[in-house]
Amino acid sequence: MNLFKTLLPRSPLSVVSALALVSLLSLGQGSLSDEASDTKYDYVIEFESKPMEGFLKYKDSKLGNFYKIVVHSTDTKTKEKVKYQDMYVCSKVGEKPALVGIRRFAALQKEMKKKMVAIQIKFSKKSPAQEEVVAVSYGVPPVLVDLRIDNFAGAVAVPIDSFFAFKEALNTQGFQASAQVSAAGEQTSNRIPLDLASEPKGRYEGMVYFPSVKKK
Amino acid sequence: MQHTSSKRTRRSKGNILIVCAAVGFVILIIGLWALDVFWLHLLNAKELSAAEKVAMAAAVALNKDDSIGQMNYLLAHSRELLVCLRSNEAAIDLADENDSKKMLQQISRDLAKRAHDTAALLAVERKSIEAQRISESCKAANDALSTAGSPGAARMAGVASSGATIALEQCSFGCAKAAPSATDSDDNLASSNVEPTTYFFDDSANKALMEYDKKFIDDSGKYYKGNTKISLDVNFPGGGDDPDLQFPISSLPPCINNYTSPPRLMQAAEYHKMAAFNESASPQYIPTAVYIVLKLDVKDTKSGAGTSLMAPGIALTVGATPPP
Repeated sequence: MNLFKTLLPRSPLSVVSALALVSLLSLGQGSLSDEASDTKYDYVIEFESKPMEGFLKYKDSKLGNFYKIVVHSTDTKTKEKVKYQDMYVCSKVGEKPALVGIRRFAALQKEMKKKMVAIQIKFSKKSPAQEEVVAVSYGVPPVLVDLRIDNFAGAVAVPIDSFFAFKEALNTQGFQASAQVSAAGEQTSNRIPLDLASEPKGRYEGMVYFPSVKKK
Repeated sequence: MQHTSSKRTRRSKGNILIVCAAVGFVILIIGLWALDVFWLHLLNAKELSAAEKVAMAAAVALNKDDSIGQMNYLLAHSRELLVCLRSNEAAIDLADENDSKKMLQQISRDLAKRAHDTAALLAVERKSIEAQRISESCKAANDALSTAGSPGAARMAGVASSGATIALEQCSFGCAKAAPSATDSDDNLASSNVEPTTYFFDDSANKALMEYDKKFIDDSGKYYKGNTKISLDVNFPGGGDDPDLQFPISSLPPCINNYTSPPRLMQAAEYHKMAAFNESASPQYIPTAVYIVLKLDVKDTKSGAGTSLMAPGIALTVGATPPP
């Protein structure tokens, strides 16, 4: 019920997207890519993180550990898998984590225009370090922007063990819980929605991009 | 008559002895001189060999852990991130004044600002790596000369024990030229290890960048040129937002088919001298080749007369490891 309360003020596409996400999560872990054709998603964007051991390790460095996020896109109808881009995230650039670089292999904006897209997060191990979870979260907003995911809920499925850490990390990047934004007396319908759900199902948070909500 | 004859014979015999003694003395002098020359040549050969070993040790230290190659990759990728975010910011259509589109544009703007700050910090870190690599390379050169375990030092220890002293006279830094030539030009430098990513796919949004990047690409068309600032100036469509970022890519042998180029000795004609560290306020490139000169002072312990023998050693550092 909470799920629908959160999504009601949004466009009908948001509701479709959330329903699709719920059906997708009910398939269980790993199902997103394997059985994605059963869902209503047109594309699944898969994030796979890898720690870059020893990368740019030198004395007095102000850079923390690096993580490479390999991003693939799978067309759920044709099952065609395309290497989309590599992202390089550093757990500490000066004081904060940061997306440091990107290497693109394909341009997907045209294909994904007005399509249903889900993002699936895969960490390097079942219980990743907190800094890896945070680092991977820094890869989500650039993909939303690059694929112009603006008119429906961008669904992000994250392993259940890392759900809260991932949510916290998105908070620091300006994504707030819809309920919190509504409680602050702000409209959520004109914001970029992002539905965060655990995989396997069990946890869910409807979020919107609202970087200034904490200041109110 | 017989008496006279025997007297003459005796006088001849004496002359021969004197001549023999004189010739022997001259041969001895020539022999000693030849020995001296041979000894000096031997010392010089040993010194040259040591100089090569010292240069190799210094060159290896220059790109320890492939910090130059990794920084090159990171600089190019941080630039690509900025290009993507800036072009996204410009491309998101605002014609319908859709609120969510405006919000998407705001995310892109925020991300671009962060990416800019990150790239600026990378530039500071690059300078830090440059200083560290130069310092470590000089240290490695001195260590190679003085450490007992070093092959160069072991050879030179033999020289020093024979009344000669050896010192590192010069340690300067540069990079390799694309083709050996007598002229020292910035247009003839070896490539970097970084491939421009935009060449992997054809997208109209990236055509402008590909066109703009042409001037940075080497003759093979595959890598960025060495010692090149791939900055995004106002001539780049939509550029000019990041004039403070230079992205200086150093010259470095690229990794081809997962093969990392080993360090190697160079000829003087292959070496390009770069401005000394801190000599100029403008951004420098991390050097990838080292030019050292050893000075051997040889002194005659009795006469005090001496001579100095110079031996240069030039080496190129280890190439880049495979891209991350």
